[in-house]
Formats: sequence, structure tokens, C-alpha cells
Amino acid sequence: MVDFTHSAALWGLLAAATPVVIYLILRRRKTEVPWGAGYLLRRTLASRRKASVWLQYLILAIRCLLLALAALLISEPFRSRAEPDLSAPEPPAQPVHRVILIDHSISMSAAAGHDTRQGRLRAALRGLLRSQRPGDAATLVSLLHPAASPGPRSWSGPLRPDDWEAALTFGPLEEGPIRLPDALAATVKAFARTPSVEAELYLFSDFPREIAADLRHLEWFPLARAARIMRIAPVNLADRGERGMGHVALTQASFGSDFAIAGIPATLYLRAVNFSETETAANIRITGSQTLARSVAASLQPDESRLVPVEIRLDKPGIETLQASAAPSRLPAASEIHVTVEVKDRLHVWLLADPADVTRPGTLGEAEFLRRALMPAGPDPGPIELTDIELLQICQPIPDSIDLILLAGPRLVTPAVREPLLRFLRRGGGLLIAASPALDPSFYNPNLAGILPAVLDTAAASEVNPERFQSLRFPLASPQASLLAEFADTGAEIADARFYNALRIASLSPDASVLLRFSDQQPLLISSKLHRGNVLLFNSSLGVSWSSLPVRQSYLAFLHRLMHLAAAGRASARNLLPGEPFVAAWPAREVVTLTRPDGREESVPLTESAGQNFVVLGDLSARGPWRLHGSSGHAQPFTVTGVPPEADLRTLGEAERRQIESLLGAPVYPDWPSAVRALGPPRAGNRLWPWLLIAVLLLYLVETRLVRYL
Amino acid sequence: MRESELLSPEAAARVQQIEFFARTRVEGFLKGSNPSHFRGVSPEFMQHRAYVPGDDLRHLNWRIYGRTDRLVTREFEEFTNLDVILVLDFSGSMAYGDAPMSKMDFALHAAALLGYLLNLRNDRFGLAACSEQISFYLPPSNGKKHLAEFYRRLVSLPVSGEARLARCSDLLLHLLRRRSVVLFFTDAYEDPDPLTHAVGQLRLRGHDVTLYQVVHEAEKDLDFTGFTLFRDLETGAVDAADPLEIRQAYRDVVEEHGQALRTGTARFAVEFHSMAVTENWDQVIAALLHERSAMMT
Repeated sequence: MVDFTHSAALWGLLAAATPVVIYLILRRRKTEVPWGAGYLLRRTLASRRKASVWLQYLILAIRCLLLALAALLISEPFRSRAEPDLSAPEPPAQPVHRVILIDHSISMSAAAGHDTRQGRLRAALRGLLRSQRPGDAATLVSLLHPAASPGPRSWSGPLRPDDWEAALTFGPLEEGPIRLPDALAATVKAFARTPSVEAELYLFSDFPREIAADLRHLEWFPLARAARIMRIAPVNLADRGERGMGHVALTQASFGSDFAIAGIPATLYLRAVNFSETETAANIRITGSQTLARSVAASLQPDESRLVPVEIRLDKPGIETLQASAAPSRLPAASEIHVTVEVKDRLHVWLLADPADVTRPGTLGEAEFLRRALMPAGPDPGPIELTDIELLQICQPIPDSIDLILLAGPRLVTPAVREPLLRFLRRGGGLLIAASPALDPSFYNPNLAGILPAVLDTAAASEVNPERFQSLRFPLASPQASLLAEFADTGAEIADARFYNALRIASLSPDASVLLRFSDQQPLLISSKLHRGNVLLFNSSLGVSWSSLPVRQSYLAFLHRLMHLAAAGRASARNLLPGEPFVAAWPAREVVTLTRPDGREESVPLTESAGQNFVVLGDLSARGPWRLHGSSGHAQPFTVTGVPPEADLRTLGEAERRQIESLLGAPVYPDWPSAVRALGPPRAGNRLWPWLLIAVLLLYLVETRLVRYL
Repeated sequence: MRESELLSPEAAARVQQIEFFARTRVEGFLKGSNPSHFRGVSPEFMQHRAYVPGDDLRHLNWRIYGRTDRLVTREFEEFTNLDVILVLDFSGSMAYGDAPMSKMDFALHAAALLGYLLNLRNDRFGLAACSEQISFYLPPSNGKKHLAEFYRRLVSLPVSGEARLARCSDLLLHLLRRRSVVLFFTDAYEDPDPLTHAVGQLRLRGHDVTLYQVVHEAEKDLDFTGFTLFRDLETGAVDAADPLEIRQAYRDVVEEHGQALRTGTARFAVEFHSMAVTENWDQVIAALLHERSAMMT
């Protein structure tokens, strides 16, 4: 590729037409003379005509070429490299101060193949800083932390080797929004320090969509731009080819509670969002230390957010951290999500139920179906260890080993059960109360005041009429990723269960929430939280007295979910939102090490309270799996979860791009080479004028020889 | 040109003392200064030869007979008057030139001067006007009337047409009965080979042939600038050319043509002179005549 130092001199190429013009003018100006030696003239012409014409045109062409070459010679052409150097634009003749706005948000790690946005940024930055000359200055300004810039990121003159790494590793990628108005204010401030040099602004970002919200704060910038001649080059490092690439992010992962029961299948709910502009078939893969890798597929429309359930059975007690990853995805931070679950070997349940009516032979007790459903299949104890108790047992302190107390519709409770139950609930125990025809609300309402999530009334119907029944319904506002979500489908088998009678609810406690309703919208399952413990009120019978639920196939699974839900408080919170503290009891006083999601480790102090050691962690912002482990081998993994702030990798739309171009007064270049081409690549290459000079001289010699020959 | 302009008194005076001889033996009726191929009575002894019966006994050399007893006859060279044919090229190309004069004017002056000189020396002279053929032929004669007719014809004959001097020379072969002196005044702008061959034929017949090429200095070069249309004075054809481009080639052709004429004429022992048109035409002619006279004596 040939370029020119003085391209204006190329107008001189028009002079190449001068010999032709002169030739044509002379041809038009013919003078006629009488000639005596016509014979000699004809002989001359006859011998010379053919050669003369061709030589004449050859000489004409040579003269044209001579003038053209002379014009080229003046324009000082040079042959640029076969592949033009697009690492940096040609700097101005005067010293220049370059302010380079750097986007080092996590979205810059988005990859298209092996190429990441951050890689493109580093390449552009390398080329730009390499072109630093003595007298030039460069300032790097962070788009995430503009207030901290400029500062140590300023260089004057060519960079020393030590500066390079500092410049190219501007900082680790961070999750967070970019702040363009603040960064541009910092830019103007930086330019004010060097008033006597040219000012150039380079803006490297992937221009996320949320930047559009800040544009209204940039109305001042055109005035600042006009006050100082600036060459502005915004470069969008998001690859244009990414537009058609699928990108699925996982924004939520939950089992519904932070513990699972070994041997009972649990459902992991994953929120998958298609942040691309094309319909994407996502493959979600779940891996963990004690479960085989599982994959599920989901086809997502653009912008579709879907809850993907994955049934997982964890058999080994302990604390398990599962990793879910979605593909295709170009941002590992958004495509991977972790969830930590404490797997209990079994659930210890106390069952309090009235015995069967001895006066009516053949009548089954209210808890009979419960017992049969939860009975272990073999000699080994099943996942639910059910223990029948007397009312007296819950009038005494309840052991810590008990996870759940199930009141299967006993007729009465005494005031003495209130205090032990409250202490039990404070420790995270669960209380599941099921209604029954025998249950007398007049005992429950006063004796379990403050514990019951609702004030109970009498039964809705005095007698069971098989023709009149209600079905199970999920309220619209029920949490989707709850433990009961799998029964929310109207086509689920449990939806056919018939509920013939229920207790009427006089009023709901302020903190209570209705998880299930009857088809007439009356509450069926009411939940409330008391300290760490959960209280569930099932407002119909878990036996067959008021419902057909026990004869449904999903009865056992439903029971498991109810018990799981009620006993959820028994496990520590292991899936925290960013900013939530993590508190865990530590069995021994030892050195405890915290391993962060990025692999960094640090020691954390133990806090002693009431003779027990605790680990208290605050300021947990980094999403991902964390792990506490002591020198004795005790470990406490947990996960900081939450919606990734930069899951959407799509860049600005057309309208927003035009708006930002108008404010910046420069086009947003689709990539760095395009920007360099538009700004003018460096003029470097082999100069051609010596060869041109030789050509001119040779042509002149040829021309003179030919003219002489003619 | 008028008849009175053909010859100036100064030019006539310049040539009055010049002798004009034929380079070869010629035939004439009168006694003259030119050697004849006839052997006759003349004070100029030429040679002895053996006596053959019939020879005039008056020419027997008795002295030799007395000494050697052999009959030997004396032979004497006979001198006679001269027939000179002035062959003038009246083709259109001879009209070329304005300053100082055209080639035709120069030839007419030369012919007029020679006519005057020959008439003065009692030699007979004639005129053959040539262009595409012999357009006019004035048989050789002398005398004032002949000279006047000669002059009248010189100024009245038209100058036009193409030069076919070779053809005219062939025709002249049939017209000339006696061995004569043939003087061509032409620019010789035609193929030199046929021309010299035709002229050579005259020479082979015993005529004393001289070819005077009258050229104009301007014709030796193409002293023009810019694209030029050259109108041929003989044919009227127009040739377009850039003189700058063909000048050297033209010079070469001119040189080559002159060389071909010199070579061709020399091959047949035809005298050749190239004369440039000049105002001092009388000096040029006089110099040529002096040269010829000196060569013969």
C-alpha cells in the first residue's frame, strides 16, 4: 500500500496531460507551405511513417509519464507495510496529552472465541502507549473509579519498561457500573493540567446498555469539548460479530432452602436469562463433589427469563457446593452460579397426633397415613425419622436433635407447650400444624398465640360432603423458587387432590404468608417465621378425614417438601446476598482461613460468645463460592449469590449510540483498527522517491535518445 | 520574368572571355574550336597510320617513305562548331523559392547566360523544356534571331507538372542526331537511378552530358516549427508532418539523394554539379564555365 507525505502534490498528476494537450493544440494549428522537394519529403515520410507514429506516441507517453513521476516525486510517496500498522494513529506534530478512559468492568472479559474485550483493550492500549514521544503525556482514567484518576496512572514521555505492566494491567476486572459523566469530568480536569499541548481523548469500553441512562448528565460536555481542540475516539470493544452469538446468564440458583435431606430428591431452581439477540438453546450443567454432572437444556427467546428446575438427589451428609454453568455464554462471571446446601443425614421429626377413635373400630387415626408414608422401606432408617410423642414431651425442653414437630391435628394443646415451642423455634426448629376434624381451635388460638400464623375458626362444614370439595391452588404471589414450586403446575398430579373440609381462618398474623390456597381462595397453607424457625399451618387434613391428598401419588413428595420447608431454619444461611453477613459456629478455637471466590486466602478471627466460638464475616460482596476451613479440618463453605450486575453483554442500541456520538462529537468506532484508520494510521514504510528519481532520470535519457533518433 | 531580366550586362561581360569546349568529340558543320571526330584538313597533327589505297596522297609523309621505304599517311584533327542542348526542368518544383530567387529563375539566368556565350562563340544551342515530357524543343542553331527566340521561349514556357527527367532524356536520345553537348538544369527531384541511367544513355551515345542540379538552400532542411502541411508544387498533394520529428530523417534523405545522383552520374561519366540558388548566379555560372574551360585546356 502506497501512501504520500504531501498528498496535495498529487494534483500535479494533472500536469501529465500537458504533453497530450500541447500535441493536440499543435495538431490543430496546421500551417500550409508550398514545398518543392515533395519527392524527398515523401521519401522521408514513407521511410519514417510507421516508426514515426509509434515513436511519436511512445515519446508522448514517456513525457506524460515523466511529468506524472515528477508529481509523484514531489508528493514523496512511500510504501507502507503490507499490513498497515493499525496499532495507533499518527500523532499530531505538536506534543499531545492523551487521556485514555478505561473500562475494566467484568463485562470486558466477555469472549468471542479466544478473543476477549479486555484483550482488545490491552492491544489498543499497548499500541497507543508505544507511540508516546518525548513531550507527550498520557493519563489513564478508570470508567469505574474516575474519582481516583488521574493519579498514579499518568506518564510523561515514552513509557519505561516498568510502566508497561502497570499500564496494561490497569486493575482487576470489577463488577460494577461505569460512570461516564464522572470519567469525562476527570478527563477535562486532566487536560487542564496541560494547557499548552494538543488534547486527545480515547474512550475504550464495551458501551453497555446501562450507559444510556447517564447520557442526560453529559449535556455540559459539548461545551467543554469546544473549549479545547480534542481528538475524540470512542472505541466500542464489543465485537460486532457478537450480535448473533447466544449468551445465557444464570442469575439465580436455589433449592428453596439452604439444606437438603440425604436421600430425598431436591429440586434446584436455576434462573436462566437469554441476554442475546437471538433465540438460544441453552445447556445448563450442574456439577458437585457428590453428584454426577447433570445437564438440562432450555430454549430461550431473546430477553426471556426462565426458571429451570433440576432434580438432584444428594445422599452424602455434609455441606455441598454445586456449580451450575450455562452455555453458550461469553461471560463466565454471569454464566456460572454456585449454590451451597447443607445435606442432613435425616430429618428428626416428632409427631403428635390423637390416637384412633377406639369407639369406632376400623377408623384410621389422623396420623396413620403420615406414618405409613414416612415409614422406612428397609432396615435402615429412612430420611425421615418419625417419633410419636405425647403432649407432655413438648411441654418440656425439646432436644436440639429434633428438627421438626408435626402436630397432626391433635384435639388440643396446653399452655405449657408454648414456651418450649418458642425456644425450639428460636433455635431454628420447624413446626408443622395440620388440621383435623378433632382439632379444637379454642385450645390452639390462646395456647399457641404468637406462634400460630393465623387465628383459627371452626370447620367450614359440619359434615363432609363428597360432592363438595376444593382443590389446591397456588397464589399468584407465591415464591416461584420455593420448595413447593414443583407442585405449582396446574397439570400436576396433586392438583387432583380433593379437600372436603377445612378450618376457617379468622385472621392472618401480620407476618404470615399464604403459600397455598383452595380453589375458593381460602388459605390452605399458611407460613410464618418466628426467629429462625418456621411455622406452617396446613389448614386441612393430612390424613383422609377431610381430603383425598394421602391417596395421591405425590403425597409423600408433598409431605417431604412440607417438612423440608418447615425445618428450613435448622440450617445456617449458606447462600447469601452480597452484603449479608455470614455467621457460623466454630467447634474449636483454631486458625480459621477464609478462601475467597478468586482463590485468595486470608485468616479470620474467631469471636467468642457465651462460651462458643463463632466466625462472623461481613462485607461479602464477591459473588461465588467461599470457604472457611480450620486447621483441624473443619470446613464451612458458603456462597455469595445474587444477580450479576453485568450479565447483559449487549452493547448500545442504534439510537443511544447516535445520542452518545452527538454528545461526544465523534463517531463510536466499532473497533480499534477502524478508529486508527479513521484517525490516520502512522506514516511508516519504505520511501519510494529514490526509485522514482532513478525512473525519472532513466525515462529522461530514453526520451532524449528517442527524440534524437526521430 | 521578362526577357530583359534574363541577362545583365555585367553577367555578359563576365563570361565574354570564357571558352566553352565540349569534353568529347562532337559533330558540327562549321569550323570551330571544338574537336570533331572526323579526320580532316587541319593544322593540328594528330597521328600517322599505314597508307591504304584511296588515301589522299597529299597526306603521305614522304620523308618517312624516303628513310624507311614505308608508306605512311599523316592524319590531322578536325575542329568544328558545337551543338549545345540546354535541357531545362520546367516542372512545378522548380518554381520553389522566393528569396533570393526561385530555382527556375536561377536556371533561366544560367540558360540565358550560356545561350549568350554560345551564340557569341558561333556555337549552336537549343532548348529542351522538360516536365512530364519534353514540352518544348528548340532545335540547335545560332544567330541573333535564334537567341531572341531562345530568350522568348525561356520566359514564356509554363512551370508546372511533375518532373520526368528520365523520360525526357529518353526522348532526347531520338531528337539528337549529332553528338552534342547536353546541359541539364534541374533539381533532379525524382528517382535518381532511372534518372542517371537515362542520362547515362545519352552519354553512351557520345554526347557530352552535364547535370546541373539546382537546389534551394531552404529545401535542404525543414526549417519549420509546428505541425506543417507541405503542399507539393509538382503534384499539389499535401503531406502533413511535424518538421521537428522528421528533420533529421529528411536531412539524411537529402544527403542520400545527392549521393545517389553523384554516384549514378559518375558511373556513366556524366558530369554532375549541384548549385545552390544565389543572387550571384552569374558568378556561379562563370565559375563553372571557367572550371570547365580549365579542365579542357
